[in-house]
Amino acid sequence: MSGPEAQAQDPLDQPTPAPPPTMAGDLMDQTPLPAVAGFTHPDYSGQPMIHLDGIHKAFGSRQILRGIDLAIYPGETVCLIGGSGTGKSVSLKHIMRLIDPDRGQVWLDGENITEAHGSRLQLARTKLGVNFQFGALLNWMTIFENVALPLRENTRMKDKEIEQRVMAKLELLSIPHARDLFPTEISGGMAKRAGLARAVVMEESLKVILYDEPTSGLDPISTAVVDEMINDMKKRLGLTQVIVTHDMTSAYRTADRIAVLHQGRVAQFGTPHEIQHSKVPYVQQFVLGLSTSEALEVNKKSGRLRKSGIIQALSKSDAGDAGDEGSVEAPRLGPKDLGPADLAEPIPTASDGVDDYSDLGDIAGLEGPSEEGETLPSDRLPSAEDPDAPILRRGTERASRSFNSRRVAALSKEPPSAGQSANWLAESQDDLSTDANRDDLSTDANRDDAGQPATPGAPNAPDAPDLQGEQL
Amino acid sequence: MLARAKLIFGGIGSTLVGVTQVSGFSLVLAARAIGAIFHRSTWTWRRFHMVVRQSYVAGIESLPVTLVVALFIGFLLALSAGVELAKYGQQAIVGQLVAVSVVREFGPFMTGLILAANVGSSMAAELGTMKVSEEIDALEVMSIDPARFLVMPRIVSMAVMTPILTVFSDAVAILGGGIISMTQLGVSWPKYYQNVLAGLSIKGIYTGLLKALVFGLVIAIVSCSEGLRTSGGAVGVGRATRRSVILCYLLILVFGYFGTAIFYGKASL
Repeated sequence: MSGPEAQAQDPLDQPTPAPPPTMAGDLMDQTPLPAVAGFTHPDYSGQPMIHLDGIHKAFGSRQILRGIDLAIYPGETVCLIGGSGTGKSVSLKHIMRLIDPDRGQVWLDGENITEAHGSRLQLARTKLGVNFQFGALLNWMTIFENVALPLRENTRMKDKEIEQRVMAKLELLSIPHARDLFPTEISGGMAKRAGLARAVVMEESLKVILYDEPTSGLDPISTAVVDEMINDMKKRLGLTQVIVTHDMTSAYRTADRIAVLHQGRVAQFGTPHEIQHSKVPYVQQFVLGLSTSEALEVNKKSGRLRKSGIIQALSKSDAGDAGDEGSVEAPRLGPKDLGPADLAEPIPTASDGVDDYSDLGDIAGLEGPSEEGETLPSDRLPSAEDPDAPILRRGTERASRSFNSRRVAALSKEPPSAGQSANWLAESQDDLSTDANRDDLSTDANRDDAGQPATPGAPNAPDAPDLQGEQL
Repeated sequence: MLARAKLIFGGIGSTLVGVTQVSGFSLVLAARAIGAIFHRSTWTWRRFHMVVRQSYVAGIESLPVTLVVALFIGFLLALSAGVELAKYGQQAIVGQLVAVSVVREFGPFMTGLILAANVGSSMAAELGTMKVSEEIDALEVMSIDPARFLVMPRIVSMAVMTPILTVFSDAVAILGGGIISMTQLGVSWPKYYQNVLAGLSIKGIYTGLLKALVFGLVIAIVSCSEGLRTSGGAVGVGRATRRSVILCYLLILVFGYFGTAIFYGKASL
């Protein structure tokens, strides 16, 4: 079974039923959105929609980008993650052409925008919608006027048409009631939604939406709502999306692929599954949210510790060369110990082709600086026609569904039944088994009154694998 | 020795580069904004509304403080000059002196200073805040030129309102001079008024208004430029505001001097 047939039977491709009422829905005053018209799969067959080609950028003496290479394909949602100051937002500003690279080129929809100026640049920018971190709404205009602004300035649409279009976008994002309010009179979440409405209002030319930390500063419920909004925008409009975020949960919920930036380069670019199972030390540390001392501890437990620090130690130990000079052997601990080497699922080795280690030395400072960033080889890009295509959309959707189930269960007024709990926890185990590394489960829903696991075989039962990794 | 020379010349060089960059940015911004004035598509009724709004801020909201300052400038001029002139029995010509100095120099000068502090600082702070909160970036990404959308209405409003405010401040300063003449110097109002008329000339009036126009443009361009070059969050906004006021004061003095030199100096027009 392949192609359209497979897609037709794939439950993930079916329109998402309206979720049951949740606290999140009540709090955000979000009415269920109408059924999705069509799901656009990323198209990896043609040219990339966005291509950052060896971008270098320095501000004064500070080198921010050291050769970013990223190819983002039509219909794809890519998250840029990484620590502060690693160049995520600077990369995003290169795509908007708000910053000129010192070296390298930026391609947008097949056009080199690095050298575009004047009307050509304006034309290229009409393909972009940008959702800024705090909405970037003009304070002296109402929400309606803010959203209408691009139409009034760049088109000759009549007022009536503009009003219809703007109201459609406000309704799409569930904020039609905010039309006459000023940005200072609405919440942060609503401002983000209004910013998104403005970003997508030029729908004729729009091909890409860029999100700059869309969930920063939001509470977990609002974060989930914004993530749903992003997924919904993709389903409805089939646009390419690039999201800069620090939030791994959001990244797993929304991304087809995740690019981890470190020291101005792409440390790894892969599917959420690949990132979760990464052997790149910085990526492991980032994904697990470990401090340096914790990472050192983890590495010590995982078997080897090298003199020169966590990054080098992790990189080489995970590459499998245990006999390096400077390594200190440490006893290997059981599966409940926190550590990337103790993940429940077998980690693909370098020979599986999951990770390109050519850039590792660069990141680790082992082999001198490399001028090339790391991108997923094009022959490893999943095909939309291939039902067995690893992970990309499927993994993301499953992870997202799992998160959504848990959110719904957690937010329902009635606690989930034992069966429901077992289901979604089992699903979590399937998706997030990388995190099977802690001892006990403290969620009350999974225990009976005596503190015993509610369901035989459920998490925390003596014969069940540990499931704490959902904290990821 | 060599290191010291390098330090000195390096400092001079980097300062010159910085000044050139700032000047270039401001001039290009001004050219784009002024060019947009003459572009037909610029003048939608919404843009006109923005100009009116900026004019209200620059003109009406600045009027009270300008008038109060003008009144006291008139008092000061009349009193200090009148007391000295009275020693020679020439206090009657105080009206002429007040009229000439206010219309030619003090009117546009003090109006410019007040607007630089009142409106220029507010423009720099407003645009600076927009810059650091990414609103300027948002406009650029939406293919909306900030020079046309934000700077042009401010330049037009300042170019219109500064001369108008100058006329009002001239009138109030002369009135203030008249009050002092009557109450302190014993000069009657008709006598004072006659001397004022004798002191006024067409050239004096238009050079004063021309200076006011130039000051208005300088304030708008410098303040918008500093605002749009802001970086570094709230501290950056404060820095941009302070710098814009200082630069405006400096340029008002410099342009004021050269204006007088051009029209009344040795090689005057």
